[in-house]
Amino acid sequence: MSNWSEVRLDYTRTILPPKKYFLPPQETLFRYEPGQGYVPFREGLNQHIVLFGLHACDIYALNILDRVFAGKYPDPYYQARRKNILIIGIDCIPDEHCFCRSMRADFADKGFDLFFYDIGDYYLTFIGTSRGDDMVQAGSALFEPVSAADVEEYKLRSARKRGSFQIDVDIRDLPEIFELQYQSGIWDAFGEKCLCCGTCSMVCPTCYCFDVRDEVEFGSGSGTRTRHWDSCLFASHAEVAGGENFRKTRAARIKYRFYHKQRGFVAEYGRPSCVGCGRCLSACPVGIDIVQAIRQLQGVQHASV
Amino acid sequence: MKIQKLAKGNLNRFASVVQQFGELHAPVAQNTGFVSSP
Repeated sequence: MSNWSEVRLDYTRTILPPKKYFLPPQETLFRYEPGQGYVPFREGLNQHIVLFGLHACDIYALNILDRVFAGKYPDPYYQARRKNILIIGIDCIPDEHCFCRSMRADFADKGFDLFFYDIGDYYLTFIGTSRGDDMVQAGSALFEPVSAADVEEYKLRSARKRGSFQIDVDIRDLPEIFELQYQSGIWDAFGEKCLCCGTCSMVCPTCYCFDVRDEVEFGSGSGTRTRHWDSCLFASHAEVAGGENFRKTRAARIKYRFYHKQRGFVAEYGRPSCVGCGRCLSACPVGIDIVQAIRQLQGVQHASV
Repeated sequence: MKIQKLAKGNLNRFASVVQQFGELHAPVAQNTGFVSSP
């Protein structure tokens, strides 16, 4: 850190989420050369980084990415970075775009090495891993035991935070609502408005689609395989050989994105992949609002797409 | 889970300590938003 005085621990949300550290926007996977076969590209994978100041929703998002990249089909690139990057979380105050409480992602119980809660003159420091304990031990002279008064202050501030969310959306029956609303005209209305620019996917902490490209060096038989962030909103995302496209219209693509987040992921992993960080709400150039969409589908808000 | 407390005035000293574990990245203001930066 070049200048600690520039750090803003009161920040609302970063433009890009922490996924950029674990799944970079663009990365080389391997090189291939005649006679050598495939040579994995490991540059940067062993870099040790301490990510300071992650909010609970972003840590929760990393826990969701773990299910994809460190579960049934482990990704060695993701896993190497996850191993070498330490995470220090910090509590936050919700703004007008935050709905992480509705998405049950306002509190992280795992996925961090340390987590700081503001209790006035102190930070209550939760130690989540042995690596976190190592960091505390390295600065042991700076830490003090927690008192009963500290616990009371934590409870008071935690309750105050719970009451300060400006957005509240009920997601308990969302998978069923999405099933029932598959043919809803709401999707056509969203398709009319959506630019399919992919901004919501890029800023989403749990969108993980990527495209794989081979860059062949003509004449040598050598080349590199790279992967790049992709978005299901792009017209090319569902295009297959022969030019067929399973989601030709913008309405079909935005519906697919919402369904994967709020319905498909529930079936596969038991919870929506949305963590309510509010990035898509604040970044969408035409003001498409996932919370409004959910409320319209639930019938608790009239369509105003 | 172990819990301790850190005086806010000591946060910058702790930030120096953790740099022995890796390159420190933290949120800073950039244009109209925030980015995580080394």
